Formats: sequence, C-alpha cells, structure tokens
Amino acid sequence: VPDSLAGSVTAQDLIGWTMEWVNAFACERGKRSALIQAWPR
Amino acid sequence: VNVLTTVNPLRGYLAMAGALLIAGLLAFSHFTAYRAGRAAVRAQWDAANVAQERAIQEQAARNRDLQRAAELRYTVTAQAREVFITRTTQEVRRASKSLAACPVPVDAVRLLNAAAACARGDPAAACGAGDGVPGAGQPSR
Repeated sequence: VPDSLAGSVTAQDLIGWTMEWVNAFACERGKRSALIQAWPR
Repeated sequence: VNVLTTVNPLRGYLAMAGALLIAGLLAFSHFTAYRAGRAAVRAQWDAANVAQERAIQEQAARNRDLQRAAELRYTVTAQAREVFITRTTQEVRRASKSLAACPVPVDAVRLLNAAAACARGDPAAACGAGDGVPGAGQPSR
C-alpha cells in the first residue's frame, strides 16, 4: 500500500501515486478473486 | 427367639451363608457390568475423539491445498498485471510530462492523504459509509 504524499508534490508525483494505488487495489482484488475461485462452494 | 437357630442351627447358618453368597454374586455381577459399561463408554469416547481429530486434520490439509491453489492462480494473474501496470505508469508519465512542475495544492494533498489513511484501514480515520473524507472542509495551515 502506498505511503502518504509528501507536503509538496507535483502533478506528476500525484499521477505516480495514483498508479501505485491502482496497483495496490488490483493486487488485493486479484488475491481475493483467486481465493474465491479456488475455494469450493 | 430366633426361629432359624432354634429349629436347626445348621440350617440357619446355611441360609445366612447362602444370602451372603447371593449378595456377593450380585455385587460382583454389578461391578463387572459397571466396569464393562465404563470401558464401552470410554472406547466410544476415544473413537469419537480420534474421528474428530482426523476430520480436523483432513480439513486443515484441504485448506492448505486450496490456499496453495489460490496462490498459484494469483501468481499467474499477478505477473500479467504487473507488466500492464508498469507499462501504463510509464505511458502516463510520458503523457503528463507537461505537468511535471505543476504543484498540487496543499489542501488536495491533505485530503488525498486522509482518504489513503482510510483505505489503509487506519482506525483513527473515520470513513464509514455516507461519511465524508476525514478532515474535508478544514482550512489548511
């Protein structure tokens, strides 16, 4: 999970930070989805 | 006057001995039945415990197998996603080169950090359904 933003950041830093969050979200969702698919219902 | 001993002392003694023998036999049979019952209950209890323990171990083994299958499945999808995210990040950085020097307002940074704290599950950040972003609307220093 990404760290907090520093006090002064540029728009490009913000874009990088946003992408880190997108990655973190996709990672968590992937784990959850793999567990759901692997577990019998 | 004791009828048994008066009439025939030997018969009286025999009757008493017979009664004692019957009492002894009854006590013995009861004790034997009690011990057999206790052993049977104990055996059933042990068998139930063994079966329960075996079921727990089998379930744990099944869970481990499922966990491994899930991890394998995740690893395969994670590799493709990692490549996609890395490439997208590079493309977005290139496309936003002109924004490199644009400062982000301090208020926006504060709100984004509060939202991130909420997403991390920080208990200090209140972020229930319907709540606004913590600290929103507060003037920056």
